[in-house]
Amino acid sequence: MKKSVFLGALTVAGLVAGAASAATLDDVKAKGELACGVSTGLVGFAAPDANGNWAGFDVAICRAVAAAVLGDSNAVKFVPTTGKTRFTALASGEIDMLARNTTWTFSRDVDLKFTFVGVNYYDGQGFMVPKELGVSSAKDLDGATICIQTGTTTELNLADYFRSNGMSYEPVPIETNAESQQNYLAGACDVYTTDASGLAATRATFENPGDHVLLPEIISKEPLGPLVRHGDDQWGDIVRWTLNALISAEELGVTSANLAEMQKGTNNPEINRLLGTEGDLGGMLGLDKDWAARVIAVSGNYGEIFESNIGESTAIGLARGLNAQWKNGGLIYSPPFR
Amino acid sequence: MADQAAQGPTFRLSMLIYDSRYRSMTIQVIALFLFMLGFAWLANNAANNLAALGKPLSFGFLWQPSGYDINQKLIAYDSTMTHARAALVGILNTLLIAVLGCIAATFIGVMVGVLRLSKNWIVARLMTVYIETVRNVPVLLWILLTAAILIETMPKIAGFRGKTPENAMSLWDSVAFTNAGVFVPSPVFGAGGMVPVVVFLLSVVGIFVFGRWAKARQERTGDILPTFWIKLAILTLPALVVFFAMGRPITLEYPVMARFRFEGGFVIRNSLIALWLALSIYTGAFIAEAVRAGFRQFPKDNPKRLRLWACARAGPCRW
Repeated sequence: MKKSVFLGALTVAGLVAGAASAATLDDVKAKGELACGVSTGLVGFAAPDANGNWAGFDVAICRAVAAAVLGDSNAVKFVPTTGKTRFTALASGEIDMLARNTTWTFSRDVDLKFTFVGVNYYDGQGFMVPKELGVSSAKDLDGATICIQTGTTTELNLADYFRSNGMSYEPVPIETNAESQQNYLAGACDVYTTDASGLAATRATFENPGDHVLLPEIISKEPLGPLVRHGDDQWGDIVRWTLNALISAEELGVTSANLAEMQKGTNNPEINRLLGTEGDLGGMLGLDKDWAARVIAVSGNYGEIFESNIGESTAIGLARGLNAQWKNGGLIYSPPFR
Repeated sequence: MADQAAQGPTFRLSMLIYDSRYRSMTIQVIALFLFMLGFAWLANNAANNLAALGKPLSFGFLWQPSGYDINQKLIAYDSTMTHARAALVGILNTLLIAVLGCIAATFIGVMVGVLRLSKNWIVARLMTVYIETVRNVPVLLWILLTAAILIETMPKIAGFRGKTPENAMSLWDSVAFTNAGVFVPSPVFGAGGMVPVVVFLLSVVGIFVFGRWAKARQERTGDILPTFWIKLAILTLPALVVFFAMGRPITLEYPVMARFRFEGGFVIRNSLIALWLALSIYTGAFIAEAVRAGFRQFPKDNPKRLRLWACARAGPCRW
């Protein structure tokens, strides 16, 4: 008798656990907060300010998803992850989604069983060197000492690039951006290599950014985007269409300034569908009608988020380049809201 | 019948439970079996769940090309070799640091342990402060601290570059202490270069042979030879004579500044030095306490007990 009660309890517990891990949406709602994996600190993309509030380009995606799902952009638990810990954290369920300058690659998508929901920044790997070194091309770096973050695609690209060009180098493996900054500024390594956006962001925090140059060579494609676990398509759809809502909002001219106006209804049916005044796209996602309006209300559309965190008006000063809307010659493109 | 009685009652299976001589053993075997079953169930569960998460427990990746480079390596390795080879490089590095650390930590530990018992109040207290501080700070912090000190305070390697370098090499331009590591000359073995090395190793053997012979001679005749000087001569002279007679077949390759860093010679990287120092300093504090405890075994106030103590270690005691 006792044994059967015990076994029964075990079965129920197992079913509950199984159901909880299957539907991330319910899980997040039950917790009341979104666990979002970010980097350990890369100014412009994800870094805590003096008061401990996280801000940045990747952080904005986390906040947007929290706003869509929970209606509160502050209901996010930011989990700092390194290049090595990020995938374990996501696969084990410690975090619900990862937005950490992570390159979409075949093996990460297929072998590690993650779903990349889109690209929020098209990047490529670059090199930063002190100006006084007198190097003008990556081809001149034969024999240099290079700081490189372990467990990243950049580490592998670096090995490939130097091997295919018949050059040698001395790798200095490091774990976080802060550590490489220390090594690079102390001169323990001559070169720092990572995604060009990361280099620009790191250089912006230097005392004398002008003393350092980014070499012209971009040696790889690094499409960076948020990702979730395989096997929960509903959750994947929510994150994917949150990102797409930000992108579409820019394309359609919906900004944080005119959002309230647009919500009253417009002549453009796609804006109406996006903001929930026509149809019920939110319901199809398992959310309410106003989800996208809340997403845009957090910190504006994709372009506004770009400009305020990493754009040309900030210290990081990245041009839109590849990350302009497709209409302006960039690669940023959202499928239609229909 | 008498034979059977001498052999005792025959063993029956039921005795495993009803005979108190076997019962405890039976229960333990069953408990062990259940424990192993439970462990197997947990392991199987973990493996299945990891597989469901897309992380199956498999070591197949070990035979894939690694794709990354390693700077500190004792065996040949490049990014086209397998993960298994990379792991081997790492294991060898661990063993290297373990051997280096053991030697340095033992040295530090013995010195500090003895000094802590010093009658000099300042010395003894300084050692106490060292031991208590070092032991109570996690070793990882020591490693980070040492690495940061080496990176920030050593002369910048950039200062060695250019036509008029700011920093100069030490020891007659043979060694460069930089914040990327210490660059030292390395030996280059020319034709027949191994001969002096072999002669030197034979000399080491010769020292032991001579030592035994000298001891036997002393016991036989009572004469004491100046063994230290003779041993020193045996150790150095033959190798030196061969070395110069063969026209110096071993030369040194000095580190020379190239475009970015020193080429030639041998580099002891900062990371290795930092790890070695930190581990030695940390472990040395523990060894120092063990050494001190060892000395405390000496009953210093009681000569009779001290003599007993010494005798117990010396073997048969003569009063």
